[in-house]
Parts: sequence; C-alpha cells; structure tokens
Amino acid sequence: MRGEPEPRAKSAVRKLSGRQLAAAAMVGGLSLAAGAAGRADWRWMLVGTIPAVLLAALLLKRKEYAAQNLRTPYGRVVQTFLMMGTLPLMAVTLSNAAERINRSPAPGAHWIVSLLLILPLLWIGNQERAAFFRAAEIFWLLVSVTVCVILLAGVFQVHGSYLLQPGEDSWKSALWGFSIPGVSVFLLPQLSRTEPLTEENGTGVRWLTGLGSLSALVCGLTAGILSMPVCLELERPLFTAVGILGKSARLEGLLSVLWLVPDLTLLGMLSAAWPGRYGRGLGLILAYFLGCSGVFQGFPGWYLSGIVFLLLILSLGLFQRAHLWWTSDKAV
Amino acid sequence: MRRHSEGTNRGGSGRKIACLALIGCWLPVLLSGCSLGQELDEIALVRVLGIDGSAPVTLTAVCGGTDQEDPSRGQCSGEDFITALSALPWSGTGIQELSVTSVTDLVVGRDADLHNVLLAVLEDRQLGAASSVWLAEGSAAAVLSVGEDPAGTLALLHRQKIRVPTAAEVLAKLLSEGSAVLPVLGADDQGPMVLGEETVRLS
Repeated sequence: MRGEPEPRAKSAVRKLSGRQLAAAAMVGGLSLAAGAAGRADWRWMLVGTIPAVLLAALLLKRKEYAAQNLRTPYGRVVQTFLMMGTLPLMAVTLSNAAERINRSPAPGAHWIVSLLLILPLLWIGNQERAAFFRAAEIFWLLVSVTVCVILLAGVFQVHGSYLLQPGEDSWKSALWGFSIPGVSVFLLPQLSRTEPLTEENGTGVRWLTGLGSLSALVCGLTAGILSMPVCLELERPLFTAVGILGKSARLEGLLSVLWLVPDLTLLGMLSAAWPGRYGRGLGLILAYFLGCSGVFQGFPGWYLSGIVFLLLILSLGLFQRAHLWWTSDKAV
Repeated sequence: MRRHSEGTNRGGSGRKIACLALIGCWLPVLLSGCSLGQELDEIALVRVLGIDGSAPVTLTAVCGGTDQEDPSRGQCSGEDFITALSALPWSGTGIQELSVTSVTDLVVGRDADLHNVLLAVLEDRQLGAASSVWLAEGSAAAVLSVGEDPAGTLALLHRQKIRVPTAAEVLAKLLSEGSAVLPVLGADDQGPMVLGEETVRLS
C-alpha cells in the first residue's frame, strides 16, 4: 500500500466553508434581484436591506445554536417549512428562466426547456453537496464580471429624473430589500456541515450587505434607464434595459443566457435544503411539475419575498439557546 | 487493487458520458441565438420599419442603408403589431427573408397606436429598444416609398446631429409626462426629409 495516496477523511470532503455558502447566497440572490428590478423602488430596497443585515450580524454570532437546534423537533419543523417554502420559489425561478430563453411557440417547448435546465442540477444534486457550493464560488466570478459590465455600461444611460420615480408600494419594495439577503435562510440546513469558523461571521455580513446593495443598484439602474412607468408595463425590465445598452436587442439575449447562472444557482441552493440526494432530486422534480403546470402564474412577484420573510421569522427560534421543551436527547 | 482501479475507470467514464450528455443538452440552449441558421445571402436586414394604422396594422420594411447595397422593401398587414411583425419576414419582394434584428429607425404614421407599438417594440426580442422614432407627416408607407434608399437618407439625417429619441425614451416620456416630442418626416423626390418637430400625446 506504500505510495498510494491516503484516502481523504470523509468529514473533510463534506465540510463547507462560510465563503462558499455566502457566494451561493450572493449569486442566487441576484436571480431574485432580476425579478425585483423594475418593480421595487431601489431606495426602499436599501431601507429593507439594513434590518436584514443587522439581523444577519446578530444571528451569525449564534449560528452554533442554530446548527444544534436543527436536530431538535422544532428544528425539523423549521426544516420542513423551509423545504415547502423552496417549492414556489424553485417553480417560479425555473418557469421564468425557461420562458425567458424559450423561442419556440410549440406548446410543449416550455416543458422541454425546463427539463434541460434542471438536468445539470439533478446531476450535481446527485454528487456531494460540496460540489455544488464549490461551483457557486466559480459562478460568482462570472456573475460579478457580468454585473460590473452592466453597471459600468449602464450608468451613462441613466436619467437622473427617472431614479426618483416611485416604484411599487414602499412596503413591498422594503420587503424585497429585506428578503433578497434573507434568501440565505435556505442555507440554514447546511450549518451543521459548515466548518466552525467564527471569524467568518464578518465575512457573511459583508456578503449579505453586498448582495442587498447590488440588488438595489440593479433595480436603480433599470429604473434609471427605462423609467418606472415603463418598467411596470414590461415583463422583464432588466433584460430590456440591457438591450438598450448594446444598441441592439441581441445583447438582451446574451444576458438572458448568462443570467441562467444565478437562476440555476438559486435552484441548486434551494434544492440543497432538501435532505439527501434523492430528496434534492425530488424537490427539483416537484418544482419542475409545479413550474410547468403554471400553478404559480398570475401571483404578484413580491409574494416570493413574503415567503422568504415568513420563513426567516419562523427560523429565528433556532438561534436561541436550546431549551428543554424542544430538545431531544440527541441534540444536547 | 485491480478491481478498485476498474471501478474508478468505470466511474470516470460514466462521468465523462454524463458531461457529454449535459453538453449535448446545453448546447442547443446556449446556441439558441443561432437557431435560425440561415445563409447570410438569404437574409436581408431591415433598417427602417414603417408602422401605419392600429387595427389592422400595416408594416413597411425598408432594407439598404450604409452597409447594404440592396434597398429592397416589404409590406404586410396584420390584426395588430405583433401579428403583422410575425408575417414580415416573408413579405419581401425578392427571394430573401427579411430580418428585423437590425432595425435602427421606426417611422410611425399618425393613425398608429404609438403606446402599443412602442410597448411591443420593447418587449420584442429582435427589435431594438434603442431604435430611433420618427413621426410620418402622412402615412409611414408613403414616406418610405419615395427615393431610392430611404434607409441611407435617414442614416444621413442622423449624422446631421438631428435629435431623434429612442423607442424607450419616447415611451418613458409618454407614460411619465403624457407627451413626447418627435421629429416629423415628410418626403420629396429625393426621399425622406425632416419637416420639424411635433408633440404627440398619450391617447
């Protein structure tokens, strides 16, 4: 056996770093930001981001409790609600992504394109969780470059007067601002698999602040280019705004394809909230059927942020010191 | 050990097959921009699109311009703008298919529903939201039927620094302020010419 490489410890393979989780939240959160762009008022989004970041700073200090409480009956209830909460988000994200890139008017095309989109997720979902979260770090490089190019090219097209036009109701916009960084609540089941790096608390807060700010910037840019009344009449304002940047609609098509990366990262992140390899696959397949059947079509876009908000409130109990009335023997 | 290495190889080839299958599935999606797959000789790029009427809508497509020699034209009608636009590629006079991916100017007739037309232009995946918008003195078809190369003439007018708003700007003005100022196009023997400016209001 001399000369053969030592097999890697199982725990070393499985452990995730805080940075990987933060990168997944950042990339996946930008998928939601695209939905908010042209709907939410960027100023109220910034206002909504502030309590989200403060809450994250508070909770990240107590994440050891959350990791412990996840194994309690209350933790299992929270995990079940998290799993159920992923379904509408995954269904809408998958449906929107497929609709955006589908060019065929054939009736079954939407089903086929959606299936093509979840195939890589089913494949990566069958690997170890760490494989997906490692990939998210690489995706962040691609997405950050894309967003930087859009922001740099778009800033010269912004009309100052458009920036001050109000968007949706202020509370809906603030809810978007709170919920986009709040989407990281779906990473709670991963806490028990994360390396216990207490010094990464600050990193998590910085990433979530960046996500909230970047989302507000994207929303402000879209409104500044197109004006809010125009945005409210369009289906995908962010992509239309980018079409103007390139003086051609074909740049819109390019971004539509590139934006699959945040969409698929969000889908992967949400499916990772389901336990086990088969669980992840089941979650994706359920979302596929829900998305393609159009169950969630016609709902206003902000209800997704409402779901995230409610789940976040429900999850707050996890960050308390474990109490006897909800702890089991295994947890203590 | 042999069994172990065989298992590893089998796993590796399985992964390769899975990767190849995924690439095969993904390529059509990533290359969806090239899905029309036609020879360039068979496509004529529309530079100027004239829009008349609200129901039915009549579209007048003009090719040509600075980098195309053939100023071919096409015309078609439909119940609304989207229906007419879907019929446009096969309305050309020649054997070429008309492509609307490079429209730089929209000439709107006075009887067109400006709000709906501009909204459809912004929503369309091929038409550019940055296309310039002109108002036709009479009908857009009449303005674009004069002269040998109307697209070339409009390109010349752009070079003369005439301020022409884009489709997105016009729609933003209409929805924010209720009105927008558009340059008015008329026609003489040589082709389109600027007659002045006019304020259009949201009906």
